[in-house]
Amino acid sequence: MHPFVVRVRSDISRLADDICLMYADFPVLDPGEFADFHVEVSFERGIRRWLKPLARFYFDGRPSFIPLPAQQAFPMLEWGINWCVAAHSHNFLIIHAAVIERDGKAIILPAPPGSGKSTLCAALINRGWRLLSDELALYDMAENLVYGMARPVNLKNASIKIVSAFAPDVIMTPAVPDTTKGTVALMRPPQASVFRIAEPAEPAMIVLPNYQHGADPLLELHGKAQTFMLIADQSFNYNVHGRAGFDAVGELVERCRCVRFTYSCLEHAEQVFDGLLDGSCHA
Amino acid sequence: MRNTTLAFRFFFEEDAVVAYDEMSGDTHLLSIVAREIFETLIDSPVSVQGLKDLLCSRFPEDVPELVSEGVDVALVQLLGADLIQVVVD
Repeated sequence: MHPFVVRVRSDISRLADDICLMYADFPVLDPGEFADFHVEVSFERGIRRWLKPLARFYFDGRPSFIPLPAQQAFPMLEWGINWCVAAHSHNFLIIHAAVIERDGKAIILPAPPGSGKSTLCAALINRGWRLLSDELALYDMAENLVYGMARPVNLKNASIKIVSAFAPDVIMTPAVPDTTKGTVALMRPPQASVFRIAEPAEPAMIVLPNYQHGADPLLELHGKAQTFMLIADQSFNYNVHGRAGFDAVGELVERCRCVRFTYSCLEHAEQVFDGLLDGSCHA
Repeated sequence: MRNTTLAFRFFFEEDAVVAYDEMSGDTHLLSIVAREIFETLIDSPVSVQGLKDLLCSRFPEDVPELVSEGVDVALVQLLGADLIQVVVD
């Protein structure tokens, strides 16, 4: 998964099936090739291997996090890889945000959980937008470009049915109930997005999604100083970079139009986003 | 005032600025008035009324009551961010 290589081990056959389904378009390297992250998701040892089986995530051979029910193995793998990247990849400024692209211009959607970021992202990438990421924006501070990994999109609870209805041809894992995030399912990324995975994009807009039931679509200018603080707050490693991080976020915010987008309907959101980059839709 | 250096970032036509504290690594969202006050206090302590008089003279086109209110808000911001201290005579 460019720009990283992840080596995965597991004794859980269902996990292998989910990986084959969700990562079908990704290249598979020889086991001897260099890998950035060595991870494992395997059955917990002992009686819990057979009685209400649990699975555990390992990084570099060390157990990480508490074990979870084995049926959550694939979400656990995805969350574990997110942690690996967020905790170790300080060559980037890593922002908790979705990133989509069209015509070489990227829109960054930073947002805390529950704002509708992943639902919106999942919908738009099924309407011609390229997926860079639904979770981790990798901002190259020197190049002022954003990279992504085009990995499966994590959907929760009501958004699973909403996205399935909006894009009936999408491929998803079966829904997994009772996770810490509720019921989750992962959506396979569009093949075109995976094939362009190595292509960064220039950030052009920062859009703060705000799902509100029944609301008409509304674009509002969002102050750049406030946007700065949101980006810094949503960054996993802003503090690691010190003054360079401060300067980089300032540069990013300065270069982008910053708006808040309130929506309740994905069809309306699609129309608004179609007009964002050419200026026909504006705050 | 606490011994530190702040790096400021301004945005065109905005009343808020962001500031990076070089000593602590903290980042603060401050008003433009707070930035003016911080820069003023670098040289020496000034009373609250002194700050209000100074800023009114720097911004004669603004209503004095609004400047005074802006100073009060800015002082709360700076105190909350632990960037200044109150010195009692």
